[in-house]
Amino acid sequence: MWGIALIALVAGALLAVLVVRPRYRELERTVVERFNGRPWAVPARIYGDAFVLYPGIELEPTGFFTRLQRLGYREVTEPVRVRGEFRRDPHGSAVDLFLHEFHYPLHPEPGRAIRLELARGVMTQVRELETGNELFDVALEPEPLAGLYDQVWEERRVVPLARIPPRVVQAVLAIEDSRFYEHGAFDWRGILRAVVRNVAAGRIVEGGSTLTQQLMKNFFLSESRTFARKAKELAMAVIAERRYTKDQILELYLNEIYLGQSGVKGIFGVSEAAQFYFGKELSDVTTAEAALLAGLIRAPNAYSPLRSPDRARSRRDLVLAAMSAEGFLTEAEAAAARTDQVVLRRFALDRNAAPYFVDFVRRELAASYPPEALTGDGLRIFTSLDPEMQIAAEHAVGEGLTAIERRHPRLASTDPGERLEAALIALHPATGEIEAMVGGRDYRTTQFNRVTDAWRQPGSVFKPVVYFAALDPDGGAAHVLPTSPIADEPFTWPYEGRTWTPANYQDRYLGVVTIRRALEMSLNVATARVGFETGLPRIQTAAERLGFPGPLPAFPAMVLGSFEATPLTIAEVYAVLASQGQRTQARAVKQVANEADELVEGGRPLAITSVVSPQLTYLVTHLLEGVLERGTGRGVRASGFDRPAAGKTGTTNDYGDAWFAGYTPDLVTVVWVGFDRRRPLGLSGAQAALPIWTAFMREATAGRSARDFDVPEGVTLVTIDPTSGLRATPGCPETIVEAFLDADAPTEFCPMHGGIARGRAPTEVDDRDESDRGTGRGWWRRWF
Amino acid sequence: MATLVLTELVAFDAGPSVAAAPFVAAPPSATPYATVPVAAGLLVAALLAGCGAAPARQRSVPAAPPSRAAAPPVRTARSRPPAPPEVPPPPAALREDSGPLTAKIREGMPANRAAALRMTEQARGLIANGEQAHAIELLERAIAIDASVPYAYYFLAMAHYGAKHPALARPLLDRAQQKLAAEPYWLAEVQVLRGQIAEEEGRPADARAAYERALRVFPRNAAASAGLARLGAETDSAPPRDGAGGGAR
Repeated sequence: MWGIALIALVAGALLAVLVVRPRYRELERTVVERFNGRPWAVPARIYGDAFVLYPGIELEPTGFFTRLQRLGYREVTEPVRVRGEFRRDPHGSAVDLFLHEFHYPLHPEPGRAIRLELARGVMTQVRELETGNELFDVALEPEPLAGLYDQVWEERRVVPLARIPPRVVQAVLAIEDSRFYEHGAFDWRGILRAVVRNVAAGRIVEGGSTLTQQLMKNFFLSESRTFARKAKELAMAVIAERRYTKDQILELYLNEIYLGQSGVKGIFGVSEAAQFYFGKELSDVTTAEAALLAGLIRAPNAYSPLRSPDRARSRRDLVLAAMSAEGFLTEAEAAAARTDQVVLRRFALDRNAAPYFVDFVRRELAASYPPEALTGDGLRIFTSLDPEMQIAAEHAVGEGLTAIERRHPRLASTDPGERLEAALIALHPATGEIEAMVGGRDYRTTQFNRVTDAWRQPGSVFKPVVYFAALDPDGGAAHVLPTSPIADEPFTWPYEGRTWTPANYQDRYLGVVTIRRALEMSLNVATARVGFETGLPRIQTAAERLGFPGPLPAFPAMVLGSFEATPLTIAEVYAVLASQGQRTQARAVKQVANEADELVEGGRPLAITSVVSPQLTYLVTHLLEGVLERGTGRGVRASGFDRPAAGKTGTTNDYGDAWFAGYTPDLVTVVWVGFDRRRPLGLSGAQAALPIWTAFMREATAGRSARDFDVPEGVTLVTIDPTSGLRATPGCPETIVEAFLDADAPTEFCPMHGGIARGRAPTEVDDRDESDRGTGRGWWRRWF
Repeated sequence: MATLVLTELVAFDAGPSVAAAPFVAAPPSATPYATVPVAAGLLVAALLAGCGAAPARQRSVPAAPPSRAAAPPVRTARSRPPAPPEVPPPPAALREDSGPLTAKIREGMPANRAAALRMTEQARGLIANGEQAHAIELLERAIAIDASVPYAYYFLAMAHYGAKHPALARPLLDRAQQKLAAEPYWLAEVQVLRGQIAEEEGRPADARAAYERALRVFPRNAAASAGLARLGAETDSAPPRDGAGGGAR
């Protein structure tokens, strides 16, 4: 017997040394690596741009209240008390808002209570509620657009234990592990109690696992209920308890636990859960809300207040009772908390916001970060996207395509590869910031981003470049004026032993027209003549300076846009016109911050280059304003968009591409419509793309001040007779204001109307000194 | 022409001893009594010819373009020595404009313009406090709100210069210069910043040229004067070059 015991002892020792000890060391290494390293892969979070609040903006048209909803703000009728609440004055004279706390990389926003004073829906002042001080630097925090995650999207805001409110800690301990600070890795008393209760109930009603065991299971182990898995869990719990403090373990636990689901996003940690369910900072949750969060731990989906409010309330009450039993709450406090109304945040449908744009951001960052850094290092990426504008863009594209198919059923198809498609990009001409991007009709069908990757013929949207080159007096070259005549009559352009004969739409020709008229009406033949007279090399140079990747093909048809470019390139070129000669590369990522809120690589500052003269760009802009007033783009005005704007329709020869490119001083938008497989659309840019552009621009510019294009030094505006191109007289039946370079401004008056001697100023005939009237001295004075 | 004809009339009346006018010769057979009707006729002809040769009238000035900001009023210096030919005459208003940009906000100013001016002024303070990165963020926002505010470009250039990004600052200064053409004070400030960048990059000639340009447009710019003085002092204190008056090696 002693021999057997000795053998058993030796065998046991050998087992411990050869099997258990190495296994223990391995588990220890695993636990230490996880605790000491990065406990979680925190996905990068992509934000849209902050919405700046300044006097003069109209709240409703700029989508202020829908922005609040998406950000999880709750409307209340009482004075705002905690962050995340807002209240509208019944008379519409003010909105009180308690801003969320937000950690901008350079300047934390602590979450201030502010008042927006209104007059007929227009913000007149912003004041801090507490001090009454007027504020000028307030913004709604950026909206989260998306996360970049590897396989599982774990949405989590890591918060140190010191910043977790005591009530939250107490609620969790009370319901999950009330003896956490007393026991070791496992709690024999808890295990025995659970066994007794489960046997009495005839089913599993209580677990005996400690928080440490739960943490080990969540970190490392599967959900399988096997003896081996349980043994490992216990061993790891022992290791953790030996090496780390209770507070360290608890902090990890409270940031680790799974507390719900939002679409593909898992909600992890108490801080994220507070934001998700209540739209609040963790520091602002009430006792009842803390109890509700703690109650979720056992079964987040079953006890979700979103799915089962009654079960959530019951579970919450159980937690409150446990808190009271543990002495964390008095009976009165528990009773009061039970009657608390838990107000959940209003949920906008969890949409995958701006998916094409998010892909574009990912591509931009790929140059600076490997995939694992983007999906695991918790970066915060601040972009230029305006979420409200993005929604307007998606809506305009969707509704626009549907309307086209309704009017032209032959264009509709259920085959995803044959469906009518569109692309829209909107960017700020002075900063290059991309404010909206729609790369296609339906991202779920195809992720092909037509804004950046669809190379299509620009057609007539290229024509402004031809006229730009023709107007340029650079180096003393012969140049045209907006009033110069050009023949819109059939002609043939010989080149390299061949010929090219352009034609107008429906073979209609207008004879001699002005440069202005030729561009306004998008006349192919007149434009070709302009190109012929200007010369391909000058046009190529102008195109490259404006931003087309060069060199463009040197054949005549190039002047009518017979080469390929992307909508993004077209937008960047038109941005040079809108910004009066300044080129800024389109950019999406403004700043990148790490978990410590430090700015890191990846953000792109504003970088500009002056590429062409402001005067020439103004001349072209002035011509393109006429496209909207009188030309092929007049549908814009007919649809009610009346802001100062310029634009150009574009249709390719085979009707394979329909474009509209247009801009205000502050926004450039390009729309393309067509089929991916280049089937003829049969519709012009004015028919297919212009309505989408107009619908978008009406929404995008609503509620903001309108601004006219600045007239640069070196440009003279002259009221002329459009027929003669000379200065208008009172007798001219039709006049327009034309822009000229100073040296080109006409000095002669129109002789065609009203009996004015040719070349004589009407003022020379009628100009008399007022003091001579009735005295007969006037003619004498004039003669002597 | 009328003068020439009249001169000839006088000469004709005075007899053959008076030299005849170059292109009107005296007829040898004319009698003294025929001069009066001839003179009267010539006088009338002269008067009629003078009417057709009325001096060219000043063309009416074109109407001011609608959107251009009002140019500052023209003031001429009361007494100034003739400017050297290579220096253009001093421009219009030479007012100091170093006050807060918010002072430019007027009743009726478009809201976004006022907001951009405020942001720019706030960024100015951040730059003074050494918070370049925050200033850059704020100024980019100001430009996004209203790109017509020229000062935003100037201060953005200054912030990038302070953050050691001169390559980003230079094109911003070009833009600011374009937009500040009618504001001599600020135009000079743009040149001063160009000069400072050039100094830091070890280009004293470019720096000197920039400071001189600053003083041409705004003679009272102290920073430009100090810059020139500094460059002059550095030149004076530079060691003599080999062979330039020093001893033989």
